[in-house]
Amino acid sequence: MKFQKINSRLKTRLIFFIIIFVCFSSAIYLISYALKDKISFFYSPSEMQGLDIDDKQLIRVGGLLKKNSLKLENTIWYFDIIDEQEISISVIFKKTLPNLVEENKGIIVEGIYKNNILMANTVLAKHDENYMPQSTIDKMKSEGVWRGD
Amino acid sequence: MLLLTGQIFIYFNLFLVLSFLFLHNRFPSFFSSITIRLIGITGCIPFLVLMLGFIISDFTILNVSMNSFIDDPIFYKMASAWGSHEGSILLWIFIINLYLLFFLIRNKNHKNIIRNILLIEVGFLFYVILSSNPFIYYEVTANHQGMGLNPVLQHFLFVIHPPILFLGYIGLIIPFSTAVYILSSQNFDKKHFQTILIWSKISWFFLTLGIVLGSYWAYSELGWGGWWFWDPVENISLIPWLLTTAIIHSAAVSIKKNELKIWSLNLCLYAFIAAIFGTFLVRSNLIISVHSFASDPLRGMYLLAIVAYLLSFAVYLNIKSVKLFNQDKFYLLSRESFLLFNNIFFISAALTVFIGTIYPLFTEIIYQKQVSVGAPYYNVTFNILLAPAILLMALAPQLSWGKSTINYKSLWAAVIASIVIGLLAFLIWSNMYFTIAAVLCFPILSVSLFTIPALFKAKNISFVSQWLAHLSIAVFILAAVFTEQFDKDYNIEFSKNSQVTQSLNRSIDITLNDIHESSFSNHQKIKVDVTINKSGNMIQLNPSKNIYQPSGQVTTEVSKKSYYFDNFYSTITSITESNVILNVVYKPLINLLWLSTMLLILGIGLSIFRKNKYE
Repeated sequence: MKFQKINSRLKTRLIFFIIIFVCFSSAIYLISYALKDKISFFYSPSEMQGLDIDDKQLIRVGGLLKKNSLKLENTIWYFDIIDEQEISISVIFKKTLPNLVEENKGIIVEGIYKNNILMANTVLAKHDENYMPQSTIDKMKSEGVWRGD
Repeated sequence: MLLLTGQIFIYFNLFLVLSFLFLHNRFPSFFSSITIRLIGITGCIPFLVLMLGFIISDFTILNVSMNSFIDDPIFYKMASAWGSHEGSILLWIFIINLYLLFFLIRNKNHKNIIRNILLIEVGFLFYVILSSNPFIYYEVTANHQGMGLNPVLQHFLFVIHPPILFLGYIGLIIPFSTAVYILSSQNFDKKHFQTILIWSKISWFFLTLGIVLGSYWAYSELGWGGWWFWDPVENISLIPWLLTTAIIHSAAVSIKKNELKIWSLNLCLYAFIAAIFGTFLVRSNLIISVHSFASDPLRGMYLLAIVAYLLSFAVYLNIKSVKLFNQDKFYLLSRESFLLFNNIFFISAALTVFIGTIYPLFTEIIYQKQVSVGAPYYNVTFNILLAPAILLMALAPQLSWGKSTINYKSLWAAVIASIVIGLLAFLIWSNMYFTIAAVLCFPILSVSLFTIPALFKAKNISFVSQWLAHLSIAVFILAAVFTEQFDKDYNIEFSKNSQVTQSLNRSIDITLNDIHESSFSNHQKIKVDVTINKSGNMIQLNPSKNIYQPSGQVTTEVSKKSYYFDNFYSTITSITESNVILNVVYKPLINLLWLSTMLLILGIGLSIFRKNKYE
């Protein structure tokens, strides 16, 4: 009798253990799969040179909005993102540009890179006047052109 | 004058807290209860003083000078008190003491829990004194008017979103302190778990409200990524939310069945740590976020020290309580085991969000490569992991505590009905994601729509809150998937001097009515009036652009209007000599999404105020 009781408790335990194990291992599998395939890389224009970038994957590009490059033709914005090595890439954006996107100021763009043009679906706006993306600051610092601090 | 008052009260509060912590065993009980009250009151004063400084524009305080402008409206002046890092940390201390005072009302004799709260407050007081003291003297020049609040922050949500979110984060201090007390004293009294449950609910209420307000704000501003962007700042508020949701479900088991106790207590420990750790992540600027804060590595280090301090509590107590594990006995088919499953799903979800948020840091250190983890990652991890939890939400509340049975007939009926609904949804909208959402949400929708009126009829209000919360999640998922799958984005070019109507799709037309320019003291406003005709219903939109003088800076003002549950969101892309280009985004069912979150908040609010059903 007693043995049976323990046995049934063990059985329940085992089922719980299996459920928890399955849940957590599938979580870990999903996470590792997603971290391999579902993340996007963050580049500066000069880092993109010579890289073979998959034209199906979203990437983010950060840098400065190149002076005099912003123009509008047929409801589409065209502009260049430049970094401190004076290397720039062209961007196409079809929606309204957010506030505080200004020439010679930091900008982050997310989109797909195809035929040497970045088709942006998102342009992100900083909210803080003092704000510049840390990655941009780091890149500027590493290239010795950072004037802040 | 204010500067000195603020300084004095910070130090006086620190003095009281330290003397209580070191000497409370020698205090007569009368004296110690006076001291606790005095701590609560003096701890609130510095922040109020700072706020007063902002209201009267006392520019001798550096923080006021930097973040306020003499002619700002009074609400923004008050809100500027938490506009900067220093002010917001002082607000944290204010809220800790506010919670302390409220906690005292019902728990006069919990000296040990209060001691734990004060042990944490000490960390924050030192943090203020060492690295973010707002009360610094500023030499004012004759006509100094203040640097002004960042214009981007001048929004009514700036007045309410931060304090409410902070109330949510810091509310977790009471479950944390109580859990530390229970684990260190091994006093597993039921009433302590009730304390944990009620304060977790209060904190959860504010967290949900705070997150929703933030989400609405991000939706309203152009370039902030929409209502949810999986941005680090958004994620770090979601992690404590998920863990608190888990606490609420597991604490019920702890109270009712006297099980899952160590589990619930550990959740309390890590939920608060997650909230503080999140703050550390975004304020140290280690991780790139759209919603950034002014940052300083040194401050980040101090916050990291606080996290380490809290974590040392947690790890010590974990080690101490290892031998208490493994005492629970469960029936597989019972409410408590389903609540455990809920916990497993929510904790896994919190884990995926956590890993996704810190992964960029990891790759930067290990591979020196920058990555960004966005929606594609969360779609395959977070969404898939929470999908089973949605199904369980329909089933679990119908099970009883202890050994329970399932009516297999109705279970099969529900399965078949969901599949039929799924097929129907696919035939109508032919969208895979929405079909999956419909299949997942149908059981909970149908069950709660039957149950809630029945509960009202039976005057059994105590369970309404729970069903309301579950229903709202189902509605939320349907609305969120629908709005993301079926939103439309239009770019429309109008020639300036003609009233023309353009057709966006079969049921939506747009007409340009008028463009007018008006001049203000420091800017020029160009406003475009358009009418959207959605199957015979007229919706007026008037997006505008402001051109500021003398800088020439241009800001784009969003104009959005609702049509039942749908929302039209319009901006001016550009204006040239001859034409104007508008961007109109059609967000179907987005208002249902906001409504469902309000329902969720209502549900949790009801459960706080109802008579505790576990008593």
